[in-house]
Amino acid sequence: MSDQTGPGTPGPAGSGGGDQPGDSAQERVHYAGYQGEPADKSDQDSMSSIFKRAKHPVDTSGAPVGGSGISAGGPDVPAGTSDGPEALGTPPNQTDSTRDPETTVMRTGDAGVAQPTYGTHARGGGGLTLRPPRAEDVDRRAERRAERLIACWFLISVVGTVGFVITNFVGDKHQAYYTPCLGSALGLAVGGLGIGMILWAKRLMPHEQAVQDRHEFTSPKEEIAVTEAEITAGFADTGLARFPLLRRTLLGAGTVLGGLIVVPLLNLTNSKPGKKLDHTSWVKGSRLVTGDGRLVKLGDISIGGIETVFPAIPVTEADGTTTYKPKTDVHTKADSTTLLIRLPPGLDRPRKGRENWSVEGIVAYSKICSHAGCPVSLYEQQTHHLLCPCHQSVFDVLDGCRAIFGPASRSLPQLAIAADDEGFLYARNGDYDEPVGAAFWERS
Amino acid sequence: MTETPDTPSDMPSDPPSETSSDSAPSKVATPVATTKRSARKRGPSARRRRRSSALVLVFGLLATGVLWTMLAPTGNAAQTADANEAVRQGRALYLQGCSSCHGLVGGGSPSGPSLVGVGAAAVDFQVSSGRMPLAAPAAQADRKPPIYSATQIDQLAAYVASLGGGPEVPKVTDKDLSEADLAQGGELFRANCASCHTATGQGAPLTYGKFAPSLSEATPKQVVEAMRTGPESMPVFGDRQLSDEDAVAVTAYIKHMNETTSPGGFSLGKYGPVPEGLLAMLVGIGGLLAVCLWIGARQKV
Amino acid sequence: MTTASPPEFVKRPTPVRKANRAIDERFGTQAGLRRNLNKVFPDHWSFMIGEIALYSFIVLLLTGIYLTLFFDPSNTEVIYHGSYVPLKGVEMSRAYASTLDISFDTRAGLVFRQIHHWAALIFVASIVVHLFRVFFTGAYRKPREVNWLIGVGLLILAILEGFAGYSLPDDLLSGTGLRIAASIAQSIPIIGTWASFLVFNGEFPGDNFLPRLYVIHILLVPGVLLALIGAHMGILWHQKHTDFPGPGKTEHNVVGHRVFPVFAVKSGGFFMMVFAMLALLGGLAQINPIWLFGPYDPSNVSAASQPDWYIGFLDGSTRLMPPWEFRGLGHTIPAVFWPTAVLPGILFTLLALYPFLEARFTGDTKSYNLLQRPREAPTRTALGAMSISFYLVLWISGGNDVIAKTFSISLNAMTWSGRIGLIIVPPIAYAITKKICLSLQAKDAEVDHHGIETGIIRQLPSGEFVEDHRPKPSPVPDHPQVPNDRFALPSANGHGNGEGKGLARRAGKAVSGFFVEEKETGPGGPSTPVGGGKH
Repeated sequence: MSDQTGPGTPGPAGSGGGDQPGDSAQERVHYAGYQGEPADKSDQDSMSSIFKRAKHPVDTSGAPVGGSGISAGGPDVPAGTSDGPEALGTPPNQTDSTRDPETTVMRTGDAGVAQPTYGTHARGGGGLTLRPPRAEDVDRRAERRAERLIACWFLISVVGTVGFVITNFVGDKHQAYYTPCLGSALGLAVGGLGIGMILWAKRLMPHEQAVQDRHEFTSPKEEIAVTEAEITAGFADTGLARFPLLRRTLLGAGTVLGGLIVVPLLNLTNSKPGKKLDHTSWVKGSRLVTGDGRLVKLGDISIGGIETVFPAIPVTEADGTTTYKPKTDVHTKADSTTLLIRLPPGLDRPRKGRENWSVEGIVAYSKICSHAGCPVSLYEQQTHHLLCPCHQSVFDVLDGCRAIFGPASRSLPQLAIAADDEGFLYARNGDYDEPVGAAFWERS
Repeated sequence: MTETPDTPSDMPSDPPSETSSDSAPSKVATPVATTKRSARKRGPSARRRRRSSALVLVFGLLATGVLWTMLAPTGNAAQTADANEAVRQGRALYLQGCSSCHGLVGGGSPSGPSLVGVGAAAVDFQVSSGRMPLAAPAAQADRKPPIYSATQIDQLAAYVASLGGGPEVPKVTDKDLSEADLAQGGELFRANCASCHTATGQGAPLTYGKFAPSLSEATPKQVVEAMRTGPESMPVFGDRQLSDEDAVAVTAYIKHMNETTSPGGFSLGKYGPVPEGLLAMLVGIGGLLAVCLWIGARQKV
Repeated sequence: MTTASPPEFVKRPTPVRKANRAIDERFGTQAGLRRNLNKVFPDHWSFMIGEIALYSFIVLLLTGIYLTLFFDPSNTEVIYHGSYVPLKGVEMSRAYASTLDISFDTRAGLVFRQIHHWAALIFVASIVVHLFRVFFTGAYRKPREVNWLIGVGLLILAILEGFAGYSLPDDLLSGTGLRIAASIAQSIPIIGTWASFLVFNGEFPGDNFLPRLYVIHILLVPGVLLALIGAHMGILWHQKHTDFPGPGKTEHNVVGHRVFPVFAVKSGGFFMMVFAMLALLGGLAQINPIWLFGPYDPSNVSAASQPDWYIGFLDGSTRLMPPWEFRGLGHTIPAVFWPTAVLPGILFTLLALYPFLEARFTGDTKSYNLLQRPREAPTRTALGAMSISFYLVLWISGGNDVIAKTFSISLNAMTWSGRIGLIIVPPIAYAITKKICLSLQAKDAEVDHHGIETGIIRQLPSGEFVEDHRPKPSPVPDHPQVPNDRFALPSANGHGNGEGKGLARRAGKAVSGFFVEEKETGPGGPSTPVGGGKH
């Protein structure tokens, strides 16, 4: 073992057990040169070596030829620096083709120490700085201790598993302890096994630095040539080049068939968009009904109060009377939800033509944000701002719910309301006069 | 006032506050008739007004007489005296602690709104939650330990109520809360409260430094007071919009959220995905990276 | 550990050997098995980040299967009668009701639901951290660009998958998210309305949308994820893992632990640790308490509605977006289109194309197996820091309401600082990072020149004071290096470069000799494990 590999050896051509020193010397030096520098860097700090303990005094323990005798820096400096300043900032891997091996040799030679360090090690001269064995490797009792520790974690895992099973079947799933207990027990069960396994691998399995060659991905030129020739020949055999009619019809058929994908795609929706986004469920004369089915009357809302309302559609019964059918299904709620706000008298500044759209300070605006469709309902009764909780658009209720902050650019649509003889509020004009909710392409 | 026996204390809270004048006769009569149980089952105000029929009036008067003799022969006199005393004390407190902003007779000033007509509930809410007196001018008053004692708050409330109108301090008993319909309260909470206070009642910001406060410290009484009076940015939820029963249900739901242990472990402040993502990053990824480091570490010798 | 002479063929096999031979008789597995068991993986800790993603995906599959057994992805409205009192009698979809049942009335339901959700967060998070590692070390460079592309695809799919899962319970929070998603689809020019209708099966909230989402969540996306993860791993396996430069490490080797046994046991243990972390999170930290959010109702909303963290940057970009809506010619391009469709489109395209752009602009088309440290590529590192800071500003803005509330900051101030920060922070991050990289390089150069400062001050005979510098120590491996094969065999030693394919192999070596000064060795030469002497 002692002859294995200093840093320089594991080249791709690798020096086999006893291969010829002369043959690979140059290559070895080359590798030594170009790997030494990044290695230094990576050992200096940074994540690549947080836990490497390479620059440890013990490094030289197994290295009779190593730097300890040569380098003046003390026992923890087995070898001098090998890289010159020209290497800095140069990605190490560029050296392969760009750097002249000669230079590398000179650089390594300059250092004086590096040459023997890499070179001799590679030869099996014993320069390899072995890590000292772990306590477990030399001390049988330490090994036993490690074994017991690992076994202990495995047993903890068993305890966790048992705890999980017991909690699962015996525990009361309606109690607050149930889920935390299950989670902790499961964590113990798998975590114990995990810690045990990692300790096992770290403490009891041999440490190694196995070296494996990488293979090249590029195929040899001959192979490429042959493959390309065969594909070309095969393509020629299909006759696509010779029979233009065949080629064109095949292309045509393929295109048409490919276009078929549109059909199942279109089947994904059961209704065409049409003008659906332009309309809501409000119709003329709809009364305003709350989520729990109460028709809203004048005076229900205090000054500074808000109420979310939906349409109650007027239905003429057989006997001629009109009843109001609340529409509060999800589809209606998704576009017809309206927010009533009762403003203190005299504050509202209605837009032109909307002077009679409110009644006794009660204004009705779509609750669906004109930005992304969230329900806008954070009403500040002192500033009369409406805030959307999703993207923080702010609307000024007094100014026709104009967007004054955030990503929304459109005012909230206003619903014209009035009060009938009985005091019930109703939609006087029917639907909103513009699409509610988020904008879309077809909207002007 | 809060310590007084059932009979008189039911009286102010029973009729809808905005219609206090029209139901004046029944106000005298019904408090005794509406024993505790029926008080909880009060229907909408319309029904209540209908109940002020002659029959009820007669029965109420009878019952009042009977109970009067039985329970509190001297109560009323003492009560009135107490009330006057409370107003007087409250006025003293007001002049000392509040008048600099709200004006000498509650008429308001550039630095504080008028208190005429805000009612006892608003005072009780603001002062008992420590929001008033203000520590410093800010976008919004913050909750802090109250400065005044419960008695002093009652006195202040009595004084401000004497300036005119406004909702009375509501009565929310534990029994009301425990018998309330939690599911109904939850529905109403999500429909009316969650949009500002979040679905978990943790509060959220409004514009320009204002915010909807967390409900985790609010007492049931304060919750109802806030609904009825609409403090600061909060909209008003009057009793024709949310009946007393509904208000108690919402309060019970909030209380339930505050007091129930989270079934899934630590609740992470119930703020939803933001703390969850933070925990996933810090504890989850951080912890697993630590495990990576441990696995990758060379063992010490 | 050293290469020994081939072992004897055991005549009387144990059951395990019997099974092995039975399989071999049918599939001829031995060479491949040896090759793969002896595959070497480098052991740097940062190479395990990707494993977190893999293992949390496995946990997602396991817990997800459990949840599918109880979850009912149906839009049908029902009245809840389960054991969670505050929702009794409330009308809700079957999807929401069955999620409540999983949470309250199924044994171990809540813990697995929470593990599933935490695993989803960790899955995407570990993909992102893994992406950082790959980016800052240059691991995506040729020949690994395809794996980078697959990785970007995995990230996007993971985000989609997470969003679909987050939306399935049909609670108030996720329903709000779907509403915004519908608005985003609707905002796409020309095809937007149709796109939204096709996805949601009609106008939002659509008809029977949840079953559709469910299929996407449990079949379509996981299937593609699984296939892509397989490809990702397969390519990694084939191309071998990159490694940091270090003692004994070259462009042409891998130094580390063999798959069997150390790497396998460590990885197995790590899987257990990931699972344990998720189990502990799932049991101890409540996530997505849908019972508090209530069933989805398009007319309700909760303040501080947030998506899960990996969508947060899109939420942030939407919040920061100024109200720029294009209107004209009878058409509208809504403001929501830019930050939610265009921006991620650009970001992910740039991310996917980065390896090619870098190769293009640096003119570097060589293959690399050794990684770079961030400081060695200052421009790349600075670009990465810039992108991360850009992302972070968006991400923080995605939670700006919670931050505003927690730290009593004005929401509008948060929005404005996000808008300004988005423009000025990334360039600053770029400049600072580049500067740091360059000065670190300078420091390295100094150490290389003068050695490391020792702190020992000496007075020279001339009276001058100098500080002693000790030379930088030469790095050395601290484990014995061993061949990757325990037993030397002339062929099937892991590279297929035995005599059977001599010609091709030699040709390949010839080509690679262009890049690497490399000696052709005799038959068996290169296949002999490196440094493997018999001693």
